Amino acid sequence: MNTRDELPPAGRWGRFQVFEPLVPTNLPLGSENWPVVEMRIENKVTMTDPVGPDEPLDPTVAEYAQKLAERVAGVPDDERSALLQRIGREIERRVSDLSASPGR
Amino acid sequence: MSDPDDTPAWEPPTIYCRHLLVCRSVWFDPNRPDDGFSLGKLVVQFRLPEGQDFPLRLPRLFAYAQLYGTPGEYQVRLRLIRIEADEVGDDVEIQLGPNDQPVEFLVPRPVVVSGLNLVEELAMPVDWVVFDRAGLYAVQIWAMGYDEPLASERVEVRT
Repeated sequence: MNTRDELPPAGRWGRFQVFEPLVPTNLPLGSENWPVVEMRIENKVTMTDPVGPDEPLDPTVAEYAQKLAERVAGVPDDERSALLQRIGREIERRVSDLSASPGR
Repeated sequence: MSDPDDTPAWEPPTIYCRHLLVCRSVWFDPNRPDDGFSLGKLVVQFRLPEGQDFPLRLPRLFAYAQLYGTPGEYQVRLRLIRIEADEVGDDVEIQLGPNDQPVEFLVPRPVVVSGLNLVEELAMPVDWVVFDRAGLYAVQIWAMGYDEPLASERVEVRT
């Protein structure tokens, strides 16, 4: 089941205290002219993965993952990201094909 | 009349930090608040996005701390410093504000500490964290009236 989770509002929730965003009292000289590196503000998260990050994978899956990792680690740094994306797409395609095959 | 020796000596309030962590998100399920809170994407390292130059400015991070100590309310603040090594390898703390002043983030309300036996959890969103160069940094939590940080968490910024 997907659960929509979000940043708790500021306040005291039992023994958990949440505060309004803190802003710096001063910034380094000239920083008002520095360019902003765009990075997503993550204060809301939608949990869609039924396997939590701390739960170990099935041993067989972990073994395949290890072999894939060794393969990926062997390629040059500048090719690694592209290879990982290709592997991800390939797995998604195969899962999709299997899900659509008759008899399932 | 009681013996003055029986009077307990006054002791200054003490506050301790058991954990200080830096992460990218904090969340809970509003429909099930008793399930607890989650920290997401704990970080000890930041990498400059490809094609970008310093300074690295992060719109939001979170500092998470667990405090305990003498019951009371404490004014708390966070400080961001850079750490460099001197010629003999000892750590030197570099303040990041103008004129060697610290860059600090004031917690807007006093922090409640309820005792020594159980921690209070703090989630502090921190906006516009600036790293002006690669290196070793530390997020520190300070309490008003104390000369040393309660805790310090190091983060590395890499290219």
